[in-house]
Amino acid sequence: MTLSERLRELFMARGIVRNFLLEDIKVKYRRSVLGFFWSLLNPLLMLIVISLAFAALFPGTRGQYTLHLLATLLPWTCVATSLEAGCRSILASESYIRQYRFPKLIFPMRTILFAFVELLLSLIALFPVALFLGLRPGPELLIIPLAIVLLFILLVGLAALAAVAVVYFRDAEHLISVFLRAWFYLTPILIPFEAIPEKYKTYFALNPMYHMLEMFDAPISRGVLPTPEVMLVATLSAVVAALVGLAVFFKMEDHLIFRL
Amino acid sequence: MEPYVKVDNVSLRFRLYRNRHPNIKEAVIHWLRGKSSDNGYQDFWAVRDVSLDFPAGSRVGIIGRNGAGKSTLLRILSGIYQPTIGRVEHQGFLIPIFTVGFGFNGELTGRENIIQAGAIMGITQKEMARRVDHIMQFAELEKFVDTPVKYYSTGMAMRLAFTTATEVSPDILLLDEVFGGGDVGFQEKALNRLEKLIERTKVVIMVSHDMSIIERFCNRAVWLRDGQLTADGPPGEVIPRYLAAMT
Repeated sequence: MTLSERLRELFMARGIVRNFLLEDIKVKYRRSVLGFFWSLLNPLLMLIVISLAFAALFPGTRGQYTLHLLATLLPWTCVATSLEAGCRSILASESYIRQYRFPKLIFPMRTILFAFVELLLSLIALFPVALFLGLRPGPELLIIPLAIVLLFILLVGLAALAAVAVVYFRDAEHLISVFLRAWFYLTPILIPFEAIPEKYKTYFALNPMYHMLEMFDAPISRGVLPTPEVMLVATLSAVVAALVGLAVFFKMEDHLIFRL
Repeated sequence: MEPYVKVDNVSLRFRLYRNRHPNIKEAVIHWLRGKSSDNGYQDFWAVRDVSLDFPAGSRVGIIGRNGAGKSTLLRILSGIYQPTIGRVEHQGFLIPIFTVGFGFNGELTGRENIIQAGAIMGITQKEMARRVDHIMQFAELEKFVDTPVKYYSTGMAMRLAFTTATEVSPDILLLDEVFGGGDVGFQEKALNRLEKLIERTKVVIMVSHDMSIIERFCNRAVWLRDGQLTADGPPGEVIPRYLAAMT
């Protein structure tokens, strides 16, 4: 199949993706009216606990530190859930794949979209908290939608790659969760970039996730636009991840069923 | 354009790996010991050099022993398997009905599951929503439209699955042994429903071990042996030859 045929098939399947997404939202939030608030409680409590424990270690006020946490921890949660659920997505959809012909990218897509719904809801719901912590809304916040789009592109590529890897090597799933934990500590989330010793900063700046999260962090916690360099690196890493991820995924797509 | 299905010189190879699910840990250990990991496999051609034309009006029964490649061929036609060699082509809206009772989400209600199943088959939400009452009525589940499917009994879930799958008329219908399910009363009802669906559908290709079903519904029988086409003709000719070869 050519690339354009695959993309066309994907486009035709958008109704299925929408239905899957609605299904996931319903199943998760139907149980209780408080459903969504319970799932908000998790990042909120994380924020409180970490800021209580760490804020004193870093320059600036507690409010600033907590705002930085909010701006980086929420997108990171989205990264972690996208990849943890995304890497299992093909295996978990075996019963569908054996029954019908699907463009199989819809399965990782479904899990990522759900993670983004949660990211959006929690960004909106925690907005008052951010105001309370000293966020002064300005035009630089308009960069956030772009940051979300870039993060989405990055995660589609990474999740597609991870999903294929797990079909071929079942234990890749464990490796991915270890990798995610390491990535979390190597990304300036708990420790803001400014607080990292000068001599290590260049190394930390090699991490594309730093640039990605800085797209959220700069406008939210410092009220400025991300630097052009940050935007450039974030865009490039998203595009490269998506190109590599999709190239591998499309190449393997038709063989996946023989390995399920 | 009239719907059709065309199979052009199709072969499908399954690769049976000695180690079906390799893992990274083993691969690394093997590599450290300086041995290559066990990548051994055996090739198995499930379908070999099959060419078939199914023009509009075809009612085809695929027969053959277990493992002859019947279901595999059906899955190639539906696009689930890409053939290793050759190509398949179809024109028209195709619905495969393989294992009735797949993928209902227990947390969702009957109505929601119907709409979801519709989306998967390629039917719009609006169209499917319009048919919910009709489906529930036939499946004798009117009272449970808005009950989560996890509270359904096995029989209820099977009735719902069968009725949903057979609700919309496609141009091409692929059927794999879906003639059971439900209690005796419902089975007869289901068979009648299937018969009507088959009458409305331009191209029907089915797999069954039950020769009476093939005789009842089909105007053509295709006999597969070890993945190869052995005979293709009217059921009245092919079935006796097949039965004679079996004994």
